[in-house]
Amino acid sequence: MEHSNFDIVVVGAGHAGLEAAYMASRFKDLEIAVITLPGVPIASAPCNPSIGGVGKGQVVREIDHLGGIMGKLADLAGIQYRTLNESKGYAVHSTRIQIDKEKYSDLAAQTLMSLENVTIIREKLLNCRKKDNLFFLKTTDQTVKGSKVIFTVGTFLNGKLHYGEKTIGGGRHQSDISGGMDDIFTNIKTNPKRFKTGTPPRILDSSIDFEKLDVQPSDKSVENMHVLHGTFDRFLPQKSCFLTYTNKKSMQVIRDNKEKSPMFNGQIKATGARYCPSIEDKAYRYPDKDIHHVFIEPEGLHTNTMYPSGISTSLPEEVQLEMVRSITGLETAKIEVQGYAVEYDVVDTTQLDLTLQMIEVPGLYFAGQVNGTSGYEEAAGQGLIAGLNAALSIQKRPSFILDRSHSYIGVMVEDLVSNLRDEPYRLFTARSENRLFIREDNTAQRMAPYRKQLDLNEPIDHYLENFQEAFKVFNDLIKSHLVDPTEVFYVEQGIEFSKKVSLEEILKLSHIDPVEFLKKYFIHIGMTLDSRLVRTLAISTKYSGYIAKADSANIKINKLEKKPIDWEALYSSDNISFECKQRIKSIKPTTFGQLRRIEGIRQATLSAVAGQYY
Amino acid sequence: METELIVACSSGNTANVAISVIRVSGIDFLAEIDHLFSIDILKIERNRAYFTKILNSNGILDEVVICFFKGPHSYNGEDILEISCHGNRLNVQRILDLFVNSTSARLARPGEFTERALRNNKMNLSQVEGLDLLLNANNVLALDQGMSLLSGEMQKDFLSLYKDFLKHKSAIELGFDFFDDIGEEGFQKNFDESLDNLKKTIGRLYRQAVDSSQHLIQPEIVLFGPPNAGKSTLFNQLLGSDRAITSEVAGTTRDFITENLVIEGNLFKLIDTAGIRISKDKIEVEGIEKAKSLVDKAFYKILLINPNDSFDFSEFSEIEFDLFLLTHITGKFEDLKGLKSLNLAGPIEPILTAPIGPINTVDLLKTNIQPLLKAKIHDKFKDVMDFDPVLLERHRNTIKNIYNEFGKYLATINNNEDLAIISSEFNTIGHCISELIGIASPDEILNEIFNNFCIGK
Repeated sequence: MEHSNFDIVVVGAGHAGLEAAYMASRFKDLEIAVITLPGVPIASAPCNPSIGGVGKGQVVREIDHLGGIMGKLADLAGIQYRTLNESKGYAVHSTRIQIDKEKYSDLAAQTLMSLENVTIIREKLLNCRKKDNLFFLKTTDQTVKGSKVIFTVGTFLNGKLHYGEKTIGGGRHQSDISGGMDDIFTNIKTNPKRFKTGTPPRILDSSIDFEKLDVQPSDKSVENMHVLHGTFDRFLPQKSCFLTYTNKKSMQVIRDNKEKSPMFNGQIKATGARYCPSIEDKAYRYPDKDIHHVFIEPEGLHTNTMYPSGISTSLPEEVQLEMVRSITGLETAKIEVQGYAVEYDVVDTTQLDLTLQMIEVPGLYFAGQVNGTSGYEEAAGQGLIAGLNAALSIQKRPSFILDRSHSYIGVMVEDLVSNLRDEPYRLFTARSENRLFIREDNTAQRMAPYRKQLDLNEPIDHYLENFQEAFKVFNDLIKSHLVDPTEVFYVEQGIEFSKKVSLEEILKLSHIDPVEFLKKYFIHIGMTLDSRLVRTLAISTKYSGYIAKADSANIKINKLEKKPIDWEALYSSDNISFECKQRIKSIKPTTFGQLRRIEGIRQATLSAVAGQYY
Repeated sequence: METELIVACSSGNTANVAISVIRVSGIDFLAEIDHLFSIDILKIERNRAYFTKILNSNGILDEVVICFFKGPHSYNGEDILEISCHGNRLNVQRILDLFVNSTSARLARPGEFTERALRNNKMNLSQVEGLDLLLNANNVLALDQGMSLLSGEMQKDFLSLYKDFLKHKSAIELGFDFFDDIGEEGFQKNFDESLDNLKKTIGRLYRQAVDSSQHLIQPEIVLFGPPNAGKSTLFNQLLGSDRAITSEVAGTTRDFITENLVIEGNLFKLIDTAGIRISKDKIEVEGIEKAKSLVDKAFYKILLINPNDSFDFSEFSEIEFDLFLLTHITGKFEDLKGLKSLNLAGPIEPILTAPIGPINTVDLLKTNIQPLLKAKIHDKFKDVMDFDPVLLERHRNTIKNIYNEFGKYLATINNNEDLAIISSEFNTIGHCISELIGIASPDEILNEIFNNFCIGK
């Protein structure tokens, strides 16, 4: 393959790279190359074997409704379904699917290979240079040319693995090492902090006494991620997850071996995430707490290992084994793969714009863990944004930017480019100002306008159009149709009204489960409706009053948040402090909201700007 | 567009002046407030002055002159009634209360009249640009000083309100994002405890704000400096004959001495930090924290230094002192070694162009600087009060708001709504609290902006 000339070159084929390549490939006249290390599986799951989770489930559904691939693969490889936050209200319900890791990766590879306009290049990238608006990517065997480059190399930048006191170069267990940013590019800024993540040991399933563990079976009532799949279809036999706990002895083992822990003896200098502590963190930082959850999750239908979530560690193998065996049900456990930690370089994301393009190097995009995020879903969400924008940019079409008030992907991207992160970034529902609105159930409502911008005319577009139409019709019905609450049906539901009421009023009653009621109602009147539609209708109605109230409280804020600002004018203003100017110059905020969220921006600066624009 | 009826004292609320002007602004409101006047104000002509009495249920409240400006031919484009009443704080307060309690009017936020003028296009672009200039002057500083006018107890409660708010907010967030880690029991425990604390704090603030009156404003003057700089000498000098007023401060720590001090009829609290353990070269951690928190919230901060002693001020370099007194001057100014550790450059932000107050050099034993000091303190007090004359009323109103919203919030919880809804409702309280404490919310920023507009009128 000499003279290979591509529109878009994606480097890396993890969750970000896959989603980027897949989204770009939707534009049929573009030619896309994916360069990935030989021997590394595509879209593998080197850590937890699940897709989704709190906040993350919302991201997967957003990706799915925008035409992405992650939701589809998660369903097809799904072996256990669960709704998280079930008791906390519909707004924060989040889907998590345990996946068969090998199956997921195989399906991802098949998908990528089946795309006619995508070429997979299994070579190691040595460097990347830009000349006259064209990127030259030198690999071990050739030079690949591309107009746009999307960099999704995960933890491979200067990656360093820690197995107890042993350290080796690499981005992942048994994978090749890739160079540092300086080897690949000439002048891309990395975050001055290196990041760290870790993974627990994998345990041989035949060595676990499952009888002693709490069982969490797969939940049949959880909707699939992909909207064009049958809502409750399952594609693989379902398995269970299990729950056990650490105890005094487990924690004592770790505390006794503090000097052997790379994280605490100075061997690892990078920053790990506070929200995802290793078991060492838990032992040393919370000396009074000995009981921690350990979720035992299957890694696949045919793999013989289980993933013990909650005990990520980089202690020496013999210490890991002693600790594991102290846990109920794991007394005779055998460790198949030991836990380890990885340190890696990440990009300074404040150098990126909202399309994840490097501001100083147009045409170069970064997505995924290389941007300092953690999680497959976060990576895929960024891959989607980078892939779409690279493609749209080639076609000279407007950028694709998701608003933070409409989506978790939007929240994440804006958070990333607005602030230099000092620890790996994960999505939390708390990061959104609009939690009652950014829900899983109304993803179609939220994403349809964005998907329409792409003008792609695929099956998902017809689905969204139909869904929107049906929603409108039935939503009007709910608001306007009056029912007689003295009928037996309503009395049985515990509904008490003295006069006729609209369905809306009933759905808003605090003692009524809106989804269950609306389901029953449609059965009662003899109508069969898509269960996703019923759900969206019911929950949207239930929350509408609260959302409107929050909206009106936020109306001034929101108006101001979206005001475009001219950062260059601010930078040259005499009225803004030197320090603020430096921050403004490095972040280059385009809206007032973005300016406001920059750390260290003084109130006087904000007041000055607000004064100009109000 | 917002057309709520608003009322505020536009000028003359600072001290006992002869005449104060109260403005009522809104749309077609005369009929609604007619019953408060002895003449039929529905029949008055615009732009003409009328003499009338203001009436409450017990009779005549005051004799006033009113003038009605019909929108859009008023300065903010709405109908405006200007009431010139007798200038006396209590009187003004009574009239404002009358409007708030017996009409739909609410107290205007600072700068709200002007805000409406802008919206109604009664101000042009050049005036709006002028805003930028005003802002750079000192709005943030002024807001902080507004806080510092309040009595120490009230400030303390404000701060614990913020703390308790954050605690409860995070207890809610725990339930969503970290439920697997914390479990139902841990979640509920955190939620209940933080709610309980917040409830207590809000209740305490509410009682203070509603029950007590003027003594909520008691700005603190703090004397700070190393031992033997002359704090106690200055303390006694300042008190002088005023010492007759005895301190009633109970419950404060014994580490420092406080006395009440009256300057130009306003009550201040004078604090001598002499008791804080600060050794010559090193400040004990406990001492630092105590001194910092005392000085931080004080209204007027005086730093005394004996330049013949060296002293490490790096821990205090961020504090903006109002006055910097060099005592015991013997040698040349440049030789003073005590100055070296002080960062005289200060932060770069334009609002803080004079972070270390004017430098005065005195020999305390020879000079009596009491008149000079009192004048300076009074000037600052007057500036701040001019800037935000309705400070206390605004705080009170916000506290009432928080109290009411909190009541609704508790009802939401009792109603067994889901946590997502509870969380959303709680954010409403967050908005109220941010108005009070000055978290950088855009709402609060806007308030501050229009705060600044008040200055010019």
